[in-house]
Amino acid sequence: MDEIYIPERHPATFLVLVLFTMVSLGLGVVANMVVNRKSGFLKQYFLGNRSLGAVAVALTAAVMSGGTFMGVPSYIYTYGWSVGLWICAYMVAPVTILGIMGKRIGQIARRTGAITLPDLYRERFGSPALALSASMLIMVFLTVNLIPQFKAGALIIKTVLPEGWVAAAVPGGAGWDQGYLVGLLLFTTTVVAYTTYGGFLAAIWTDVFQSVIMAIGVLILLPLALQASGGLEAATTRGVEAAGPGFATLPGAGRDFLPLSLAFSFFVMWAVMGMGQPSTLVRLMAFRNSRTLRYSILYLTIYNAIIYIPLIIIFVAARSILPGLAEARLTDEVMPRLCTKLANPYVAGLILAAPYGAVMSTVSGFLLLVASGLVRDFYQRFFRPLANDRELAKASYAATALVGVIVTIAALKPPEYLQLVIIFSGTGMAAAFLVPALMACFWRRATAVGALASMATGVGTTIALYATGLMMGLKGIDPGIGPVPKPPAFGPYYLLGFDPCVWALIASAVAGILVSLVTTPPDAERIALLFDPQPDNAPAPATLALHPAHANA
Amino acid sequence: MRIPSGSTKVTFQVMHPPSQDDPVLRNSRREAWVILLIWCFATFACCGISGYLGFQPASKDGSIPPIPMIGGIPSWFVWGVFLPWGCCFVLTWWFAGLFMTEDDLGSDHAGELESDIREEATHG
Repeated sequence: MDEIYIPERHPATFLVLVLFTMVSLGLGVVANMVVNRKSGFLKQYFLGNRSLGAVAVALTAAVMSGGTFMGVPSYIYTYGWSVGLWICAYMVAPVTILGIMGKRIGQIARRTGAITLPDLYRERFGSPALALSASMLIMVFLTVNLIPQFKAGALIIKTVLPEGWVAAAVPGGAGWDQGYLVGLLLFTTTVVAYTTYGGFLAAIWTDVFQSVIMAIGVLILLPLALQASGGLEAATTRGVEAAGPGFATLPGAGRDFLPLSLAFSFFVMWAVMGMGQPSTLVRLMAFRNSRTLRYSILYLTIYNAIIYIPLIIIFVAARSILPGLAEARLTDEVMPRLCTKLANPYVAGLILAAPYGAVMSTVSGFLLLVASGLVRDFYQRFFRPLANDRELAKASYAATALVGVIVTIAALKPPEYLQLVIIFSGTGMAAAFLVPALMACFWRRATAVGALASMATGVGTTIALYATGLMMGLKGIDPGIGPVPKPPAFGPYYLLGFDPCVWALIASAVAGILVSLVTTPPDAERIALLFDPQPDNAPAPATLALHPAHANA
Repeated sequence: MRIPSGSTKVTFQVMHPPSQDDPVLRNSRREAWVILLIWCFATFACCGISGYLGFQPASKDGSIPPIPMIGGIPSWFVWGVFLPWGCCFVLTWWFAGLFMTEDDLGSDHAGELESDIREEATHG
């Protein structure tokens, strides 16, 4: 068996990460200082006053998360070049995610005055029940999703904490991983603080800063990895020697990792379902104008090429640079180990800031989504509709901090199978929101009941296929395709070889269309406000509901 | 929209026949169809070419034939991933740079919605 590289823990690496964290915190403070107080607190705090520029939209819609820098490298290291086909839908994701619904979501959000996703559904379909359902789904799915994100952030800090510092920081306790606790405390304090204090603008600014660091980190690591592996040909050859010919061919090393049905599924998952993520849809409500959208598509196309193509090459090379991780089941650590092996401690800290930044940006966006649901869709709509800006500000700060604290407590001892929960909740959210959003944008005949049916069917299909996979896992049945489910984790059930996202999307679309067609057509005046040309002083649909209409034919 | 005190009517347009789409809707729909074509191209080019070239069956004697490489990269990956990626790059730049229109998205009614939420609470 190959000797496994043990990463060094140098104080400099940790200090670079701390510096990175401090800059993120500083951006949060500055964001709070430049907030335009005149434009309404909620719109500013949760939507950045619809002022996002092209770079901000591109880099914050880049869909990078901890998985991009921890999970994907692990897969590439394990299964080889086939993972390139698994992930390459990001070549087309910028144009699908930003281009298909971007302008219409932006327009409907402006015409209705919506500042949260449930707001948008409520005003477009005229249905509080639909908004409430959307809000509940967002809060449940995102809160669950935040727990493993917090765990990932804590683990990165733990990886670089110098030996000896941990014991000094936290007195030992039975059953507690001190390094993890210190990491969790540092991560939580920072990300919750800057998100709470600076709101959406802070999340966006830090996202942009962190995205730039991610690109720099990847571009530094690429030549280092190629040099250390003796070139790409040598890396591939040694990968094949270690893992078998599947390392360089389809469907992947040692397993039917990517049959064509799954390859197709991932074009649906990354490029199509990505459109339905609440975090993406909210960004489509926040960009400045349609020119911004055009440029953001261009920038994101470049950014994705800069990130994903080097990632594939780097971690193909990693198989020969760090042998033995697959056998030792340590592939999840390939990124930090590679950084500390190839770069000096300062540069390693900078590169490690990439996954750390990805996790932070995901967390800040999710925290605000959950908080906006609590404040706008529950507190203001149901309990305190007459609350002034000052009260709403206090409620927003409190909600953001509260969600952060609750998730931190849940992340103290997170269950091991939460990686599956991330994928499940991502699929579930997209299955819930994508088709209703498309119907809202493009179909006059779509009804609130149809949208509700679409939402319920999408989520129901996702749950059914994951529950089936779970039951099969309990019986020890391996799905046979896709990545190996990690004990005690379980994979989804791949009906006919396709990922659940494909079936959820189809079921959601069929339900949405059929139920819309058999239910009462939507209010013609509301539809006219959102689908017909209107003068700038036309009322919002909410105004129309409050006052009888006097329509000019 | 600010409703004058005492007023109970608002004015807006309903188009008859009701199919005169807003220009943003019309352009977005046209652009969505083009994007769908780009997605289909990417998906079927990648899956088709990679599927055709990427599976390496064992020869009759059970041995694995050598894997064709281009610059250290498996050839199926070059033709099935990098080539479509390059094409998509060009298509995306054409789409966002030349084809996509810049539409006026209208004014923001967020303040009006805030007022409506308060008004609804006040007047039931």
